Amino acid sequence: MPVSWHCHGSVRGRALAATASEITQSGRADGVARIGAGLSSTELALRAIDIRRQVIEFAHAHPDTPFHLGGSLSCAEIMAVLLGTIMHTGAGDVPWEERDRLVLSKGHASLALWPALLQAGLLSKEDFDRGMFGPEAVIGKQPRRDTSRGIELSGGSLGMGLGYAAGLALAARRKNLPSRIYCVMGDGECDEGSVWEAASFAGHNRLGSLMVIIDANGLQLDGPTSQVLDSGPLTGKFAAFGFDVQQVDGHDVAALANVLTTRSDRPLVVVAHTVKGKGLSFAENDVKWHDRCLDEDGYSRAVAELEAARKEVLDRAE
Amino acid sequence: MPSEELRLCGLDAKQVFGETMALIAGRDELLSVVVSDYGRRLNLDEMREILPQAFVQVGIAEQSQVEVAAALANEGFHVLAPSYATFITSRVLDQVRVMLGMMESPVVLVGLSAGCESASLGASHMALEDLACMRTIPGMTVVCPADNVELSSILQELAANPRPAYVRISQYETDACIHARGQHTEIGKAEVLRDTPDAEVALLATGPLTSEALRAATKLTREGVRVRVVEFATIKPLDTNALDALAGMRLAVTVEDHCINGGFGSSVAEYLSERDDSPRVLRLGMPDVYLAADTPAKTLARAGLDANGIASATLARLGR
Ligand SMILES: Cc1ncc(C[n+]2csc(CCOP(=O)(O)OP(=O)(O)O)c2C)c(N)n1
Ligand SMILES: [Mg+2]
Repeated sequence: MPVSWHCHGSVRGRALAATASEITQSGRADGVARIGAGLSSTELALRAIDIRRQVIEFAHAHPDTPFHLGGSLSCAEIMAVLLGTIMHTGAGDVPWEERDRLVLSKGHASLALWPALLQAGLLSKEDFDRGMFGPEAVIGKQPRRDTSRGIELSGGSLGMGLGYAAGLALAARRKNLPSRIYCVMGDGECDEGSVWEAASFAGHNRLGSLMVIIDANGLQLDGPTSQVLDSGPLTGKFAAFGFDVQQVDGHDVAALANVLTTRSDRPLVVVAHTVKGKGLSFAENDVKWHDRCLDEDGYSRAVAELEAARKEVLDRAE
Repeated sequence: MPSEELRLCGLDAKQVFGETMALIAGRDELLSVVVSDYGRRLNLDEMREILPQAFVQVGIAEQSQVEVAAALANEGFHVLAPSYATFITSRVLDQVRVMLGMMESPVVLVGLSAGCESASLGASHMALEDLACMRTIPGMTVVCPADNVELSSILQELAANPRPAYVRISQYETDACIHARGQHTEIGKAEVLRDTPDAEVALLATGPLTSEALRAATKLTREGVRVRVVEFATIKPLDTNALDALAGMRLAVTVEDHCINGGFGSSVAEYLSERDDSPRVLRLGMPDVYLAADTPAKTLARAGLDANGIASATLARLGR
């Protein structure tokens, strides 16, 4: 019986976190200008590549399960920058209560969240080793709220993260906490009416600690966002709701880090222009890779292409 | 050559949905399928070629989907609105109350990947409360096909005679083709699939787990239990005649890939509890918790909803 969650002709159960240790060690001191108190842009770019590598490791470990590869790969730099340099995760000397919160509204990009949380020390290798399915699993295809590990929102149902993030920002204001709230959304996700109910609330209440990053990869499930439902540019809409608006190349770690250090008394939305499937030439800008199984050939090509990308970053740093 | 029925049963239900829409489009120019960024997987290309205006895309916006669908339906179009089962039921529940309930707009909501079919995506994608939500709306017709033959026939019937309705689609690897001989399912009528003279136990099943109930019946027969298996493709209106016919039996076991509370088993128990000569009721279904992500097969087995689980729970209740 062909059923959609199933991909045929493959084996189960390869090691999940083949590159987990590489990931935790990838923060190198390479003398390039540092951003804030965190990592250099070279280090952040390498972390984004490590995130992509782990995304495909997850898919490779479960070749008979389709994964949301496109939207996980497009937000690798966003995740690397947020958890690598922008956020006070509570893992260092910032008190836990005062930590910044990350709300992954597009929960189907969890494959990019897990390696970023591992890099930040919020998830452990042991968490990865528990696998992605069954009652023992910590990580999976959609996040489950687990604040001790930096997972603020149970994901899967789109359009709920912005309102939740706004509520967290309101709570931080009332408790007089310095915490900032980061919310990562999809561009297709912005079709949901609840996004705009939340945007009104955030704008009206001038929730200046709220920073929204839209992974604007131009695709959603059925096709290009401009064809599925085109209601004009997101920038103008968020501006009308009382947000400060910025646009950046969502694969430029320095530009992302820069824009996310701005401060204002209004909520900020960063429209990060990205490529869905980024890093895998055969998956880029192709709606079929919204969610799909990765076969052995695709995996080998992906590994080679990501290795080449890593070399390029290192060469540029020299 | 396999029969048309076996061919249908070998397909993904989403493929069958698309094929059926193309079939309807060829004879009914009022057809309208309103989707919320879940059209590509429904194989609607052929329907769109035949009847381009039938396809309406609202984006990832299920509330808008139900509102638009209701207006089209009330203006005379024959409207189906498919989406993931959780989103087209619980997420839009107030829209469904007002539009399909109070205003009686004849929209056919279609819940995709219901039950545990999307269990690998975790609790947010398991539709285990959708029947409970939908069957408490006055005037709703609620249908759970057991296989693709039944699915196609029900979709055609509802498109021809639209009414406020919810069609629940779930499909598992182990499903059997129950209607291989092409019975036409009449909405509102339960169907006795297997019977034994002086049956003492009735397995009452809905949806794809009907095939597990049939396998369980085979096991129970081997244990000397006299079993009847009844398929309830329609949950609302409930076929009370089929339930009245259980009078005097020892035990009625309900089987569904839905939460134990509020679904098919609950509706059977509600009816039987008010009659004097009813059998005792054992409800089998998913537990009253949000479950971890896993494969559909493991998730169902853990809940005791495979043939072994159904048979052993029945024997235990009989004290054997
Ligand atoms: C409420 C809701 N409706 C529908 C879906 C099914 N779905 C999952 S991902 C997706 C497309 C999301 O597109 P976008 O927000 O652009 O994400 P990305 O391109 O980054 O993957 C859809 C429709 C869902 N998860 N939740
Ligand atoms: Mg997108």
